[in-house]
Amino acid sequence: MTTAVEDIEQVIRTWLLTQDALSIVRREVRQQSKNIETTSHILTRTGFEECELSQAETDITTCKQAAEDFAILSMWAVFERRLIKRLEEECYKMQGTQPTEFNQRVFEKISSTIEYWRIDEAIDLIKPLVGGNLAGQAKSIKKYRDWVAHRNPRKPTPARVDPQTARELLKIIAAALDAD
Amino acid sequence: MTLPMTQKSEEFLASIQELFTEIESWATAKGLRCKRGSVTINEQDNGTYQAVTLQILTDKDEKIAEFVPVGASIIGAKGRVDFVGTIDSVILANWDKGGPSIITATREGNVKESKTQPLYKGIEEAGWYWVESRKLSRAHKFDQRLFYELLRGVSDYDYCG
Repeated sequence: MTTAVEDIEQVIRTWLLTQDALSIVRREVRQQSKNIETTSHILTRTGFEECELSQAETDITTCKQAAEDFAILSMWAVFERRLIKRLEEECYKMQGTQPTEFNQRVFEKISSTIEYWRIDEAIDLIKPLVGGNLAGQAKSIKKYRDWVAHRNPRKPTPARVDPQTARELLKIIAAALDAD
Repeated sequence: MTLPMTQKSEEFLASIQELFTEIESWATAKGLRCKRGSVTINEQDNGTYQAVTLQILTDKDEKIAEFVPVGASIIGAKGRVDFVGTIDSVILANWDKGGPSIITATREGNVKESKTQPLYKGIEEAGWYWVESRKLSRAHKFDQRLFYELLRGVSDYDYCG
């Protein structure tokens, strides 16, 4: 099983590869638009084959933005899963070595409802592990993640985060959760 | 209703002016042309405001890249400008000396310790930086040399020099 840190790195690798792939397509589309007699088959049997340059460029720009959004959403999903798992582990530790029925019932109730807790409250619980500063950063990333998920252009943006910075911050927090 | 500018957005706009003035001199030194435009930014913390954009054009007025301000409200930074070329784009962030840092807390028994840790290496002075995506945690000061290098990277444009 992979760790949250490894999963976050995988999200970033996927994002970078997607960016590269889209840059290759863009370069080829531009090249072919200048040279009608091209012998290149890179775009053969793809949606770009018959596409106008301006349309292709608009589509690629949209795809690049979508890839960045998806990286933020995916990294947050990985982080949130690790956070919930860590809280479950902590609950489990609070059971007695020979859990009583009462122990067991409390544990089952908490662990079955953890994923429905408000995420800000869940983040507050890990402050003793990661400190208030990082917990605050995590909340800011979540706020931006929510804006990305709905992307209403009429609504002002909360503080933005790029995938690189989100990676660094979430990896540090995830590593602290793993270490304790 | 237009809200008054915040100090943060004013500082952001001033830093963009300074950055763009430098870029204009670097671009014209290579025979490129520059054209200013504007973009509307709408942020929860700073309201709605206009920022200057900067297009980089060939001597034949063909657009090869554009600097587009993204905002002043950025996690860990004082502002962000995207350098968007015909092929690719990169992110520039405005940081204080040392760059963004985090405070980590550790506990040994009853003793609680906190330590400040920079997020990126290489931020020796305040200014605009580019973070290399493929090398972990390495930031580069955006200067004349890097401008030419990134311009080539985002646009494939060869200015012959």
